[in-house]
Amino acid sequence: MIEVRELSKRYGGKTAVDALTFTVKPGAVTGFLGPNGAGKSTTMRMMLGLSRPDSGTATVNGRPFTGHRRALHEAGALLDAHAAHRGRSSYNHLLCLAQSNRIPRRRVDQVLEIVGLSGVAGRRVGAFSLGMAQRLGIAAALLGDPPVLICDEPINGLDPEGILWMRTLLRGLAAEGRTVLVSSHLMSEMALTADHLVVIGRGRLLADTGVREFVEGGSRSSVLVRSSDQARLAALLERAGAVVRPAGPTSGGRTAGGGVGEPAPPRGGLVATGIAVTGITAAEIGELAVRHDIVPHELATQHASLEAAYMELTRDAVDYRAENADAAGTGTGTGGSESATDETKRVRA
Amino acid sequence: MTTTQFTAPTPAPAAARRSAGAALSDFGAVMLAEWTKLRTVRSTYWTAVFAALAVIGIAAGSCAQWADTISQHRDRLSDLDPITASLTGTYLGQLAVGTLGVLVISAEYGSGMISATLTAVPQRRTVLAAKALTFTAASLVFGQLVGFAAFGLGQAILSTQHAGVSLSHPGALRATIGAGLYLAAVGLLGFGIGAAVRHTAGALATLFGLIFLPSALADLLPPSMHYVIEYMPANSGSQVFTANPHPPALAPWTGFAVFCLYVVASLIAAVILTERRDAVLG
Repeated sequence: MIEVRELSKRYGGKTAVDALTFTVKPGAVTGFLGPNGAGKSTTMRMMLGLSRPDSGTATVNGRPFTGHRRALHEAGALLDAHAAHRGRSSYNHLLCLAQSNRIPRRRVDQVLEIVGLSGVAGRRVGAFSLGMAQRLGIAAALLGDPPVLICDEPINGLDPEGILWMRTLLRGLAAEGRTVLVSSHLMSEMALTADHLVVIGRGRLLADTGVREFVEGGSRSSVLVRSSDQARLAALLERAGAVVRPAGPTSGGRTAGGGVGEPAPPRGGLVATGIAVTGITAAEIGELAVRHDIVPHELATQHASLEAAYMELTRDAVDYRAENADAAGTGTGTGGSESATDETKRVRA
Repeated sequence: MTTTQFTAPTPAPAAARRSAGAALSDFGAVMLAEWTKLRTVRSTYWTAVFAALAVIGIAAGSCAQWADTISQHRDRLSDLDPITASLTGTYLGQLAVGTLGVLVISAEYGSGMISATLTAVPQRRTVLAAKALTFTAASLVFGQLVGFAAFGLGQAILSTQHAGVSLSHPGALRATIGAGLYLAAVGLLGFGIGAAVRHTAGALATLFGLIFLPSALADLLPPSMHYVIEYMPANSGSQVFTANPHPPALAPWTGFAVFCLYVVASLIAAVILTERRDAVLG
């Protein structure tokens, strides 16, 4: 169990972590998400007593981490894959950590076995690839067989096989009843690994919720519509109770009129472009159009994915991004409309 | 899952009272870990080999030169200080031991190892103390070994011209032990500076600047203030391995005590800064 209460940390004039409060519960993988610079690593370091909070508290298993003796039995951490002396062999790296907590040598062999590094136990850490270093970091975290695991970007540098291995390992550790906190800036990875999500941006809590609830809360699926008479169809749809908006850039990637930054054109302007319709299904739109002799050219249901929900949530909290991020971010554009979508199902009429 | 020995995540009993014995045993475990760290990196061996070659090699070279001089000019015998001649390599050896003292802690920060170390033992002062004690113990043993080896070899060479002395000679035993003590103290000074500065290059510059610069600068003082030079680190510390310090030089143990004050100051700075700062460089 990890409990963070009103945790704050400033670096110079910049607030890295801002009154953060959340609890990481045992028996689940909790994904700790946020854009780069959101304060994930800083928060994890404060949990482990490596950084001092300016205010607030972080406790691991009921007390500040610095109050734990033989701390490897309380929490294991993978904060930085290269947190090892390059000249030391991986066996000796783990041995000195084990000795500091009076953990027997045979446990060093065990964890090397678990992470698949037994064959290179004698090799210098400096000769390791990033993936091997990540495995060594996991081995160190597992030394004390701790009830809590804190991993900062553990899949960085792993190949697909390694990512699968890491995912399976973390899920297995959680299934054994442990508290597993895993940070990432990749929503797609967390969608597969995590049960619960804590999302932060600019040091503030944005969401603390289950993965499923997160998607359902964030997604509003819409239908992209292009037809022979957009203006009339839009009027009909509104009469039918649907919400109609200009769709911004079309699926083909062309920038449409009525996009972001320009005042919305009158109805007629919608002829050339698509409209995004919510509150009605694609089938209903098609039937409505045909009933009124309008030919649907495109009806595309657009489900907001976990990724899209995440992008939408953190849009204002991204610290470092390109000037033209609105256009560059998703490829389909996020121009204030419903088009922040990745999974697009096309229904062509 | 193949992990074993999983214990239920029960919080430790609040305010559990721990016996002094258990605390000592935990500290011993951290010292053992630090010993493992020390003996499993190459820099330890490189610096040890360099220090041993410097101290013993210079003793041999210096004494051989004296033996040669005496063999040709017997009257030069009165100029010979056989004890100092065999321990003069300490001046060069301190570079290596001081460097190792810095590396013992600065390499933890430089490599990022410090975050692994402090995740295993989150009590920073415990880590610092265990590291300092382990390194000091190792460098004391090493210092005595090379000090006595240098003295023995030097005197053996001088004895070929019947110019060598034994340990029972006045000042001989103290100076020989003093050489090893001084090496260990320089190592610990390096450790204190390394812990305070954290960057290897900066710490090395600070250490050697502190040893060599004050003596050079004190030379610039007006003659009436030249006594200050005797309190500078290199001047005060070296008296303990000098056979017969002449005033105004400090007496051997007085000088060494002054040097130890510099060491203590560096360690106090190390503890304060280590406690106060975030543990990760960034």
